[in-house]
Amino acid sequence: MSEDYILETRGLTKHYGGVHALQDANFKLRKGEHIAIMGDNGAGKSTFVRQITGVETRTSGEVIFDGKPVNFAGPLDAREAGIETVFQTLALADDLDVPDNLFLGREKTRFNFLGPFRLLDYKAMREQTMAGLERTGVKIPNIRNSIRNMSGGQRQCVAIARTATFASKLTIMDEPTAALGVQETAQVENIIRTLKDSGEPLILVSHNMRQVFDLVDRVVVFRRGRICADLDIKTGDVTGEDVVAYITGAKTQEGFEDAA
Amino acid sequence: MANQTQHGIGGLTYDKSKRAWPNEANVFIALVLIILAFEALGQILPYMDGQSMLFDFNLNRDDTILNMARIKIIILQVSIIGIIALGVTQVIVSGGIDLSSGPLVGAAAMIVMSFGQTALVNGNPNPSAAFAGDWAFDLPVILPILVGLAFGAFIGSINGSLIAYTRIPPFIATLGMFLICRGIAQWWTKGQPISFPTPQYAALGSGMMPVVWFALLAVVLFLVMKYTVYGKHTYAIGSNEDAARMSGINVKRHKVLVYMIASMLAAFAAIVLSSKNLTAQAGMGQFYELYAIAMAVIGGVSLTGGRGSIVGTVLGAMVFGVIQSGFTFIKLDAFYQLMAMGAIIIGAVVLDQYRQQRGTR
Amino acid sequence: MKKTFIAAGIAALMTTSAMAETVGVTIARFDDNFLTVMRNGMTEYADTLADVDLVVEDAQDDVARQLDQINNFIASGVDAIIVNAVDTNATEAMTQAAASAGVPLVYVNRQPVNMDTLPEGQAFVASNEIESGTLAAFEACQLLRAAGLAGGANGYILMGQLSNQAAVQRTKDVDDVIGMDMCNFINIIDRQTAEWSRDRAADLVTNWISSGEDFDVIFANNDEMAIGAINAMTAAGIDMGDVVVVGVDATQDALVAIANGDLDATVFQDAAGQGSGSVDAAVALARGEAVDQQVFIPFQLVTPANLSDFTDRN
Repeated sequence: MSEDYILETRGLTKHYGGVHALQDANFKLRKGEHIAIMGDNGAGKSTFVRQITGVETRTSGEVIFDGKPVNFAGPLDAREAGIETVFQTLALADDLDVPDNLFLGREKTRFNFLGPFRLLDYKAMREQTMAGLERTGVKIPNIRNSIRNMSGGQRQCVAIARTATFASKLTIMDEPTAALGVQETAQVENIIRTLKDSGEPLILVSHNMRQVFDLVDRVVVFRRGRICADLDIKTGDVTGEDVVAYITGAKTQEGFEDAA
Repeated sequence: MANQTQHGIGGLTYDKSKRAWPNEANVFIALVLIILAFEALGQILPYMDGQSMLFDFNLNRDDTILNMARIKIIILQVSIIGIIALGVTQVIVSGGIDLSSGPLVGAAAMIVMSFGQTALVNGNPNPSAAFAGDWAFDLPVILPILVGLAFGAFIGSINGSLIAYTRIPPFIATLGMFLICRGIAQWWTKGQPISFPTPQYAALGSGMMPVVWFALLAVVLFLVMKYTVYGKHTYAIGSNEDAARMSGINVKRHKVLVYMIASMLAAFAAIVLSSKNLTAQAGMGQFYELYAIAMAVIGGVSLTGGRGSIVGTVLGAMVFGVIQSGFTFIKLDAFYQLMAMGAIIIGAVVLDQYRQQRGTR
Repeated sequence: MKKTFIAAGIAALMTTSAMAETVGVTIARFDDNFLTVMRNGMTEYADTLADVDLVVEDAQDDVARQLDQINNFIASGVDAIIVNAVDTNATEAMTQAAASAGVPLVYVNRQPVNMDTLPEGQAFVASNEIESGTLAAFEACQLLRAAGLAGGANGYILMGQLSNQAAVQRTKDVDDVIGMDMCNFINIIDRQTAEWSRDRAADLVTNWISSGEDFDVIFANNDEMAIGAINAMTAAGIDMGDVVVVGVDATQDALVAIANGDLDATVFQDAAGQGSGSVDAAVALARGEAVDQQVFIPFQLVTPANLSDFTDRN
């Protein structure tokens, strides 16, 4: 049964000194599933994301990724294991073009014995970029121009396309459309649907109720450092107001009484 | 190559008409305009007698219609600083700055020339010998070259390490090194010049050799910046250092390498300079760091990092060369030359910024 | 921080040799060849004197720094000050600072603008720059005549840093010589500054050669620029026997160039002599002895004929 889960946390806890930012989080994500993490500010969402992406080390608890317990020393370890993250503030270099950005830090090269002076394999990177863009349904007529001239939405799409190109096992998006306009938000959501169709699991951190209900299978609510609700929204029983109630603490799901 | 999907993403287009007109083309146009301006002055100013700067109408010295001697000196006189500018280009592209190149040239010239001297001058002992023993003379020329490159690498590694591993801004770190190198240059022989190199050493910078070295190094740097991982990462770090770091690039180690390469190029420039002039003097290299930076900036390098090219810098050096020869050509009063040069540099950068702003609207 | 250190150093010097004279010296720049010879002349001479201690500072071509150094010396209680002025027009402030503190002051090598109105207890030891440029230019004029060019000759002037009085004066000397009846056959095509630098002069002369105008003489304000000119002309295939080149300073490199037949003449400025002369004057003033206020050490023309007299002077 555990092979169905791409990510599982047991008792994940993070204390910053006396502050219990995250307490005893038990979380499961099945392969192919899309989950939204919601909660008020300071509820522990970002802390949770930071623990599983290896940006910080946890105080206690286990993280099991793709069936194996893991202990990431840094975000690069998480990336190498197959976890790709798209942040709100993009990790893109404005003056470089799309293939450069996609392959930043992971360039395809030839003559590797030359060390830092090994040659870039532009042709291979261009081809794989086009494939990656296709896979995510991103349309960019001229990938050779610097991304400085692209809109926020296009740039976000490039960042998401990066995850698809590297065949990651899990994608995490932290407020991906918070800074975008209506049309651009729609573009990004289309790409997320594409990911769902290709069976890519996703953790989406979002404040946007409409977006969450449009896109994901389950919602996990954080409150005061603990998970206080795990809701299946595909059945239609749960409404937006219900979720808000869980976020504010007006309601508590059974089984999660400690978080009350 | 499918650009459409069934999701019908609208609006994700990119305006092709804004396809970048390369900045280097602007610099080239500026170069041509400056040449034309000087040619025009040659015709207009009464005391010039209708002379031409680049063309050989009245003189008929070579078989060509061009004044080859003039063209050669235009390139020759900027080649040495041009070598430094190549190194400075990649430093500025990486988001840093290097103010130490000028005094480093002075210090390196002194140190290197000490190992390049010849024992006898016209049958007498070398009057400006740096070292006392016999071993110090007529050494194989590879030795001073290696000493120079090692010195450059050493100074550059200190610059880079300070900048990468501490919070000292590059401006301050390299300014400190500026002063240190000046001190080294003066301390090396207590201010005495070092002259009379071996014929092999003198050959390194003789005739048009400075131009050859500049061209060679420009090609190498061009290939490195455009086609290697090192070049790509340099642009990335200058464009968005956080993004580079988050993508797994070892930013600290890269910066050390960047400054080492810049200082090694400056040291090599010192070798060529001292060879060309058959002497090393503690005051050599004065203002070179500023001229090198100016060449790069005129060539389109952005001081905030991430933008610029070797081609642009070479064109920037040409602009410098044309202006310098142009001033001599029209016999511009010496007192006005510095002012005019400063005005041109400011004008060029302002024009470039204006054009860049127009492009992004 | 540095001031405290220097003051402590001076105080230490003074306690170790109670009867010694301590002289503070500020030199315009440490990386100038000629001034280096002068500075070394001073320090070596002071070493031979039993009870004279020198503290030497580099003004780094900075007028304000030089005045700070002088005030620093005064505050540390030196017995006398020697000044090699960065800017010879800025000496009035220095004179006043020393005079009001009662500290003797000697100007060396560069003529202060107030040299005719120096107060008691101040003097200057230098060579008259009117002589230097004139000796060289006149020699050039005679060489051109001897070569049969009295009907008309063209030439260039290579000037030093235009902020230096020496550059201005030596250039004026050339103009004055050409103004004389017997030398006014010389026509100056152009004059530019090569900033005292060999490299700048070489590039400048290469530019002049490329303009195609023939020339017969180059007047250089100093030897380094003269040598740069020679290098450029040699590279362009010009026979040094066809062009008269004169410089000033009589540096080692210049003497070799004269021996090679490339440089036609230079002018020896007794740097070491100026240095030791200034030390003598400073010590004498500190001890309250009488001193000539203006000591001019003569320049000497150096040609192939008297070359051997000068080979180890600089």
